[in-house]
Amino acid sequence: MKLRVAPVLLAATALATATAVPSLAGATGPAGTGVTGEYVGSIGLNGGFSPNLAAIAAEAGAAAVGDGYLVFLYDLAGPLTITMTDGAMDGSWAMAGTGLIEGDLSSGGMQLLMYGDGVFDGTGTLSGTPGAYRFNATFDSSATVTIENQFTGPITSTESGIDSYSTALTSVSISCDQISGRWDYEINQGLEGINVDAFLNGYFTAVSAPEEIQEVASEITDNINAWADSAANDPGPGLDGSVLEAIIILEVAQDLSADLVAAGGCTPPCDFSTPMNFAAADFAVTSLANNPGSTTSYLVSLLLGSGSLSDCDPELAEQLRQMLVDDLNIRIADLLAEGAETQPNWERDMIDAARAAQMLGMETFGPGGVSPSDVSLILGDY
Amino acid sequence: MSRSLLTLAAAGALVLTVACGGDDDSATSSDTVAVAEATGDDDSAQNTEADQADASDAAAPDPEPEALPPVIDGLDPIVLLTPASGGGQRPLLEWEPVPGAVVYMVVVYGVDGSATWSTITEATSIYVGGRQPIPEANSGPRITDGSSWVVYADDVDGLVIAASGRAPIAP
Repeated sequence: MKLRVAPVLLAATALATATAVPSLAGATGPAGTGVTGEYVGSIGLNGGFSPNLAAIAAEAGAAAVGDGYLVFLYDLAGPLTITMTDGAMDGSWAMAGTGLIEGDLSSGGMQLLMYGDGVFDGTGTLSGTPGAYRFNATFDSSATVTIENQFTGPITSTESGIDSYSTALTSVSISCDQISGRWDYEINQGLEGINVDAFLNGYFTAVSAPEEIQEVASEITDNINAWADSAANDPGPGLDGSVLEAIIILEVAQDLSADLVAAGGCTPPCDFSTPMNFAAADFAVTSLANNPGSTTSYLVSLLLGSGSLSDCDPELAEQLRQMLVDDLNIRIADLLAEGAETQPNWERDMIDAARAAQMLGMETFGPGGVSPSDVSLILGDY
Repeated sequence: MSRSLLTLAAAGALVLTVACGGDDDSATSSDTVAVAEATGDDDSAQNTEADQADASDAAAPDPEPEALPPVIDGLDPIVLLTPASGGGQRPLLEWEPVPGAVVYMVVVYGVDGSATWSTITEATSIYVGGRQPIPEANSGPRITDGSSWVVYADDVDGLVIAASGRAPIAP
């Protein structure tokens, strides 16, 4: 994963924590009382680590905090089994993997390189009673990081791990054949002199179904987690590409849901696309916070892609719609401010914005309150 | 962990073509019509005039569907082929292909005018809800009386090059 750690990212992380998580926290789904059965599936871990630039700058003898990024490339997912007894959840999971750390920081005019590797080995449980389900983790993780001033050579290295933790599941969707959900955790801890902020999350699905269904469900879940990880790498220019990737996963998930029902499964109120909805919502919140005014019709299409979102969580669906409307207004204002002569794709972008406005039900568009269908009137003025 | 789906996803729009290949059977209705018409022409060349008259009476082509004005002024129109009703809550939405289009964005609107479902596909047809018909009893996107739908066509650069009108559709 690659996350910029400029102040804008820190603000974005805060927004993701303050806005997305509480909104998703409302999506706790059916209470689950009375649900009993064995479920098998997969769970993943995504997110990013942000070094505390102030601490790094101080370590390097610099006073100011600058720009930079830290890459922590890893791919973590693992098996999950859950036993439900009258709604009480008793699950276990395990994840293991290695990570590659790369950083390029600029602080007070001083260039800093950060590199290293990490080992991650975690086990944990999902537990709790309806309305109070929790994700519990015990990690045996370590990272060796070298921070190098390009003029003076390596200045420090650190080795530490992430503490064990327990956090409430932010979303749980329980239907007759499947349990889907989301967890997240924010870490702010010192690693031998350098504070590291981390925002971790993950999506899981476990099904009570034949083995072949379990395998496909786990594969979809793994890919949702992998998509969430890769989509965070480049939320700007690659946004539409990430959306297309997500739509492919969503289609496969919806196919699986149809297969399951066709095979005699019961009818879920929320289908296999539920984790994708969670991931897409997180992606939208984070990428738009990082890149205000970047709402495209492709992103709108993704968030509308599973109509089950409005079925499962109409409040979240409306929150996302309003977020997109607000951000699209920023995009339109930016486009109008830039003007056709400053941007080669201006007309294309303006038409796409008009399409997004139509999809979001915006009745007026741009200055003078013209209808999005009349975007040609705006184009003609430029 | 298996990564076959991720491999698909990683290829982005190119793989979207492959991923949607399964829709080919449902995506070729307009092609099928064209083939049938061409075959009819060949047969008619060997028939008597009476036979031709009978054949033309029996196989009179449907009136050419007309395109509604595009929902975005100035774009080329897309002809929608799905009847306004009779396809159930998750009908197969079909439209005529657009030269130069790489993907199509389909948007379904609810009775209140807000979009309720959307997807992006390379095919020229898709069920409301996805590539496979979702059973009526399932949750998920569906149309109701008063719904409508729109199709946009994008070229390889993501430029919107054509759009349909907003056509009403009911179960």
